[in-house]
Amino acid sequence: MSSDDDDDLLFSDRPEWADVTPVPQDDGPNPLVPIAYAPNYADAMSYFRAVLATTDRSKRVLDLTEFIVRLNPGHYSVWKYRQDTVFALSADLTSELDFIEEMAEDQPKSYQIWHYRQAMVAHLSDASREIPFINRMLAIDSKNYHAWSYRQWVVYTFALWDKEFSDIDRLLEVDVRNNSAWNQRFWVFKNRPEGFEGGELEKEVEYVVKRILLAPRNESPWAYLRGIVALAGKTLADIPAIADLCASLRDTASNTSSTDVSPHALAMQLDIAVAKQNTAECKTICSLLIQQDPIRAKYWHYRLTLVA
Amino acid sequence: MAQEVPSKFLLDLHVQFILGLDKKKDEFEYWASEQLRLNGVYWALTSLDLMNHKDDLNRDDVIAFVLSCQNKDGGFGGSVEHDSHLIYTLSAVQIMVMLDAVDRLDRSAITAFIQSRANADGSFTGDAWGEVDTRFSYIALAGLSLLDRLDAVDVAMAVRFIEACRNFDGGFGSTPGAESHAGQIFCCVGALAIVDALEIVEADKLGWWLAERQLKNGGLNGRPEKLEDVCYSWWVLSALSILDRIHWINKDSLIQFILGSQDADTGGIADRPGDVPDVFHMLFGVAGLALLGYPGLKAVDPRYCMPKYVTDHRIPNRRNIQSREAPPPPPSSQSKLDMEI
Repeated sequence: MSSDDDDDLLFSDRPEWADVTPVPQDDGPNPLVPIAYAPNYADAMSYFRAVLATTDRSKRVLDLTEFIVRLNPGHYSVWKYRQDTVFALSADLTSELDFIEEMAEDQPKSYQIWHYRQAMVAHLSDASREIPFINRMLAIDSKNYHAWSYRQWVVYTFALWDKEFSDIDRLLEVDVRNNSAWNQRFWVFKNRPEGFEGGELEKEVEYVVKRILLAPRNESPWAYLRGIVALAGKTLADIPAIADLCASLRDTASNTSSTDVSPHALAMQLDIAVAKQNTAECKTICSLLIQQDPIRAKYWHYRLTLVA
Repeated sequence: MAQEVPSKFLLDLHVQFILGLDKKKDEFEYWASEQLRLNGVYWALTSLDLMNHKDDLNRDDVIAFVLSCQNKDGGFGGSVEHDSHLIYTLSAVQIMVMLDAVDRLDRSAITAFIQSRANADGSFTGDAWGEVDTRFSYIALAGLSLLDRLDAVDVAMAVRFIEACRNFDGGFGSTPGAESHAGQIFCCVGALAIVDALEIVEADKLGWWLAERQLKNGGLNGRPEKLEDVCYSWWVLSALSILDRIHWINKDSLIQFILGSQDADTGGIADRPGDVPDVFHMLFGVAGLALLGYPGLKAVDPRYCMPKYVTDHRIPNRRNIQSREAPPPPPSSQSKLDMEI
């Protein structure tokens, strides 16, 4: 990495670039969208074009590409060139990891930063820094899509299944509405080498029920529950604990004369009633949902037509 | 927050907002998003066309700019002298189709570029760098269909990869196992619609999940427990429309949410009421309203996010699609480091 003093210098003023002739932008005649760059960016890009033209793979390219992606982290061509140069130089990849960690704090949603990280770690074949890094990023934004996708690659590629549940538990402890964490929990059960045994289902249902009770209108654990029951090869109607959960949520609401039943509880009761071909119960639940989830009334009317 | 929430669509102001975009060249965001330039032209042109103002952009200038972004590999970069990427290649094709200038394109070169981005497992990479994402599956299939060259890739394999990205909640993610996300769902459902493979979708299950995206304020989010955003008016609605279930959400409250996200001073539409407008949310707000049948706007094709009259003309009742095999199992990953996430 270059020192702070160097960062302010134009590349045209840097002695190590004196032998290079910069190639300015060619917008062609009468451009529709002529681009007025900041002078330091235009200067750096002129040197980048020169580098491309000569396939320069020297160490100074690292300073140049760092300068550009700091200003414009979405510039995939520059990232790709940096990657090829790093590999060609057999450069120290741990300093690349440091660089990415610093960049990711400012640009957590840049596709390019995450893709670059993956390329470095794949090349290193060492993921010892990855889960701690990802956890730091999830501490900033626990639903960062890039961080979760990258996490799946890391866990799968380096078989790091063991720690997943403790991290997921912790994230759900902080925010039981974290759909990404619920998705990850399902993904681990589905993809880990030992799979998901039917015998584990009871304990897992208990885990979910406990968290549904914290926030019954939270969509994520309900969807997860459907998924995990299906993954075990069962149906909702097979699991008494699920029918009990829905019934108790409905009872609680009626006992407090509140109309505030979780639509997800009612929806699950509806599916169980459909499976048991209990038409009268289906109709009752659909009518309740039409009242209590009015924004989706047309969906519940549709469900009613399916049972009527 | 804006003092007064607009209750009508501010068409004239929006047209001015879009035409004024290229006068902001000195602003940081403008040059920092340089590689998005071709997307920006697509967002602007499509918005204008849906508002019946397409001719306000100079056709010859736009065509010249698009052609100047093409590289030797047949693909398009986001701007002049940028490396090719599927994202910009689709924008280029869409713009040229909307301008009825496909004859100016080298179709076989573009087809070859898209073809070169196909992987053996049916996925696509966006560029030579190798990122895999169902967004790229959509782009490849949408782009090839607009060029009438779907024969150039293995459509059955492409469908198989999309199917592997379907989740337990009925939605789709960026790669197998990745969380369902309304943007990715638009891509997957749109791609499946384009190649006549919607049987992959669990329509009732996904339709309900999509309807669940509507919040009390009428706006739509992209994932459970996330904030509402005008762009999801497109990603969610288009998928619901393709699945013939657009009526499952509350139309009036969504219209009010989109109208409330307009900037009554400058024109343009923001991600949500009170925020600064941009051309990306401009398009997806207008397209959402068009899909909801808002008066004064052209009909929009939910598969392409282009005016329907354009796609009706470009894609007649032509179906040269390979027949698909029975639903296959999810693909097994080849080498561990090559696994698609």
